[in-house]
Amino acid sequence: MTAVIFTYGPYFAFFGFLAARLYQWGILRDRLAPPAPEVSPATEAALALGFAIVFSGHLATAVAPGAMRVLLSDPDRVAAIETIGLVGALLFSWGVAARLRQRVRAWRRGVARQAGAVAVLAVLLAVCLSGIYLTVGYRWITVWYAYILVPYTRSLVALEPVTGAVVASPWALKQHTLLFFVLLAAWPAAGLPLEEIFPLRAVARRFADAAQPADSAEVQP
Amino acid sequence: MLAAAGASRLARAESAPSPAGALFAERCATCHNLGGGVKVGPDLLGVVKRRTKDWFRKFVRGPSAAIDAGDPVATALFKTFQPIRMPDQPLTDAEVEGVWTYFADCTDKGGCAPALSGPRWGTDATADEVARGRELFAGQRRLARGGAPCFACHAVRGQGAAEGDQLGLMGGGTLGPNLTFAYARLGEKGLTPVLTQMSTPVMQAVYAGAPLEADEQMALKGYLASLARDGTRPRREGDFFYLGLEGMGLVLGAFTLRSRVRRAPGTERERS
Repeated sequence: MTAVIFTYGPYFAFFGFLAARLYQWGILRDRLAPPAPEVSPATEAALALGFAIVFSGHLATAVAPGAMRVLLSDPDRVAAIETIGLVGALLFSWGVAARLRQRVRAWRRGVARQAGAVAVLAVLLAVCLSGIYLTVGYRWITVWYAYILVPYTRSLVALEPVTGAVVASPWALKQHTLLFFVLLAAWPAAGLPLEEIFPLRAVARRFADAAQPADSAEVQP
Repeated sequence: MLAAAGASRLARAESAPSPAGALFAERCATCHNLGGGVKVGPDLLGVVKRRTKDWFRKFVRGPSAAIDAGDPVATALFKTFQPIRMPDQPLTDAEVEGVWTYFADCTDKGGCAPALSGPRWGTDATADEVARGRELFAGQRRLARGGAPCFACHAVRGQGAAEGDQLGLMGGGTLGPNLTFAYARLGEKGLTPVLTQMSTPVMQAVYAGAPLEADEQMALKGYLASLARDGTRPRREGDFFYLGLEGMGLVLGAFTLRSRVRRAPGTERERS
């Protein structure tokens, strides 16, 4: 059963993602969730930095597993990379939790089209927390991610799923992986922009504002 | 130790083992010597004079039960050799008789070397092989077929170069069990199939296209045997969750501080 889920589930998620995306482009273009309520600048920066660390770590290993395996062949390097990754994941979770809290508040106030955003952010938070649990409870996940999940992901892309290692792995890893696929399928349906979890433009704007001389700021209308 | 290992190989080559000698070599010699001194467990030379056969029969079949039942000798042995608990050995009456006779013969001779013929054991590994096994375990030497280094999922005793385990400041992984006493627990017979056939589901999947070479297996067995020989209890691995929390606190604090500093005249205006 688990093998079947891991063989076909990702494709369902991917097609769900595509279908929702197409549906959104064609019909619901004007029905995106309203812009996220404000969070503090520090939380925004935590989201941007956390996302960058977590995403780049996952992506680099998936794209260049050979190079990463060489990089991860030293225990001290692995400990340093894992610690940076854990800090990134904690920052990202902090930011996602703040966004979720604001969305829940908006939903309670009766703001339209918040339920989907709340559900998707809740799944994202669960993905983050299960990742943190894995990192702390089953170390060194960075290394065995390269040997278990990356071959599985690449086999999915090659349309020849090899599920043995994932099926045999701890339940927390299966949960983390399946939650990610649920997130992938549900994200476009909620209509959330990427800016919601990766507010790079907002952070860059703040930096630009801060870099502006005080005199020129005062003469602005 | 090397001389003893060499002597034991010589003894094996010289004579074919008796059934009891082969049984001792297969099940007991990983942890016990007969005249070679204390190993993971006590030296069994003279055990026929120190204990009764009935006590031995009961103990060898259920050492943990004897300890838990408060047997004074078993408890004293456990205190001496803890944290290792000898695994139960379900020997038949005939096997107990044979081994007891073998112990008596060895006591008369002043000692016996393990009498197994065939493949080398982890306890026979040379110092170079042990060092190589440590490097393979710690990922400092890559496995020939590209398999994952052991430290990704397993820890061994201690942390830090000061203790010579070369597993870095934070130690090894925790996906799999700590392998400090794996050789003592599984023995040569139990550990060999783990390394050759990768007998756990995760290992089978991870090493499916990258099995260990024979010399790598020998080196790793040698390293694990060397770890098991020293009965020191492994230390708790460093908990880096708090390190992560501290890192997050520092980054968030820095962001907050930075945004407050920026908020001086311009942001106050924005607020109003």
